[in-house]
Amino acid sequence: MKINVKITVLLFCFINGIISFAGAAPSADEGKKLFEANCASCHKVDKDLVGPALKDIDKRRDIGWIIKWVKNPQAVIKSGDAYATALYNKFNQQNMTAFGSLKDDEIKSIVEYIKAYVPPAPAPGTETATPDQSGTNNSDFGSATLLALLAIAVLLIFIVMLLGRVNDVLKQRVYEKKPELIPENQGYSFIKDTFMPWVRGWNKTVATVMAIVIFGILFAYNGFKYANNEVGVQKGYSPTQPINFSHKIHAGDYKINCQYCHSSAEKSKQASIPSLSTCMNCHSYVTAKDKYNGQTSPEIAKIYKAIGFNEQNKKYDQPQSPIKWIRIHNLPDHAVFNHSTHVKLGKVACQKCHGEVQEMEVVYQRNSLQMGWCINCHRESNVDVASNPYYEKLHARLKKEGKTEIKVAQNGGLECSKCHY
Amino acid sequence: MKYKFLTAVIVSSLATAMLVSSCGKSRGNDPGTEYMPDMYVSEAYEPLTQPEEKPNTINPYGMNMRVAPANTIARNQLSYYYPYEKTPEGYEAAKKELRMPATIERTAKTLTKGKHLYDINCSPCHGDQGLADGAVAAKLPSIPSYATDRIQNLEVGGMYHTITYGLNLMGSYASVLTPEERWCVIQYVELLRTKAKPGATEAAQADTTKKN
Repeated sequence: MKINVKITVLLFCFINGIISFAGAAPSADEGKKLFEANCASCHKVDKDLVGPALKDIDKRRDIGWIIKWVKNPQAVIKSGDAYATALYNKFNQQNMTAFGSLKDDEIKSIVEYIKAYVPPAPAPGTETATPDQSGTNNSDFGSATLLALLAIAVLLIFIVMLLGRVNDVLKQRVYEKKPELIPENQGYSFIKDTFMPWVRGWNKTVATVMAIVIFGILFAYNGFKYANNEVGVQKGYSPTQPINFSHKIHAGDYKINCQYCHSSAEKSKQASIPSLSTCMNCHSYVTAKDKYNGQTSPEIAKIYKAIGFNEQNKKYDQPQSPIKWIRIHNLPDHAVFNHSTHVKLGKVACQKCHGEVQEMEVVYQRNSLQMGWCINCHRESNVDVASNPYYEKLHARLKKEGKTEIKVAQNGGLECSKCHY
Repeated sequence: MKYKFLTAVIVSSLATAMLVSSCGKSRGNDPGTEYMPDMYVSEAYEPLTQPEEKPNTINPYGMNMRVAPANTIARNQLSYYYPYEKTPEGYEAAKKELRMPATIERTAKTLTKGKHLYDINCSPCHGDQGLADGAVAAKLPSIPSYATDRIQNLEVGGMYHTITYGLNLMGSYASVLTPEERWCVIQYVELLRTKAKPGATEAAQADTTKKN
């Protein structure tokens, strides 16, 4: 019995000891949690972020200094510590938050975590394919090539005709000298015996007039089609922009809302081109270095250059030069289009007019933006009368008349002065 | 001889037809043919346009927009005035002093607006539910989940300060969200973090939804 009690007591003490020891000793697991909760928004172990990389901090500074620093960095800087002052100046004199609430042991466990840190191996298959920027031209060949081909075709036809004529002349010369070579009756030939006599029988004037009429109809038809559907219509226009920005990556793969960048689509006439500060929300950190052998992606470097961002010290201290984006969707000045009316009131999806932009590597104009195209949609779309307080009276009247919907066209959507003013 | 004339006519008309229907189409870098290009260009300087035909000779970089003079506030935009500075002291002061203005009452309408704006501007990183699981979050280090103690205990003033100036890796959203919109987003964030609270019971969540 006594022995049993003794054993129990001993065992109890032993277990207790282990538990208290484990609680007291700084552990890397505990440190990981603390690091992620408190430090990770500014520090990484192996890379400078807002603050310095923390790898080997235990070798650079003794633990006493680290604890003092974490609890009150300002005090350490003010005390005239040379290392702290240099650090402060290196990172843009940005103050680190004081973590007075962290216990010494907790700070030690964070250091343990940093010591034990192993960089995560890149997961296989995460590499996305480099976007193909070569396919900027969505047709097989340019108009210059087509013209050259046409010229060659005309030249070749001319040569064929010339050679045929030479052949005829040579044959005639030979037959004059050696009449015995003239071939005997070669049997029936459609061209020689039926077609040519038929053509020779034509009235010269009638033939000429007919040819001119055919030519005229073809010319007029094509000219009309061309003037109607091509002149001033930029459907298919896909210019090479100063930065090869891929809507497919941003709006498609990363599912960033259109209005994250085109933020005023809901508020104003213009959908707006985002300022570069919008790019920098992510690209101050995201540089796609893994895809360009450790170099910042050349396209992202263009952002840095334009906004004057210095990658080394993370300051905006370089000369700036705005990016001249090329406008794709362009309406003549005599037609007014207001984005907010369509996006906010009409609840028209961006894709309805701009096409599946989230799938476009290079954006092109999907629709013609012609007046007929606008009008057609106004005839087909309903006005959202139910949820818009502005249409309260109209909605009540519609209900009285037993109607449930009203088209935009019926609500003045075809008035000239709606868009032309 | 006559048939040769006819051939010539047919060939030339076909060639013209081909030519006419093939050129002038917009593709690639070619915007196609325009008639009266001046009809495309506004006589007045329009924002966000910079036509080559009508360059702006007055403004820097030839841009039609200008940066507002320093220390000015446009009419009716007094709410843009923000007294706290972009320093840790300013952040602490905003946390302590800044509260949601009484004019912005928490209603279903402001919450819907807040959700809409949150989904556009915040969710790419912070995730639909504030759990830092947005599609972009994978590319950025350590976006705080709203379930963490720091966010759970964060005052609204701190949130407003962060949206206005940005914090750490997060950029400023002051140019995108008006002050009223910022408060609407904060209302929605408060709702999300109540939902994200570790160990939040179903009843508590139902309670917050009822309050709205």
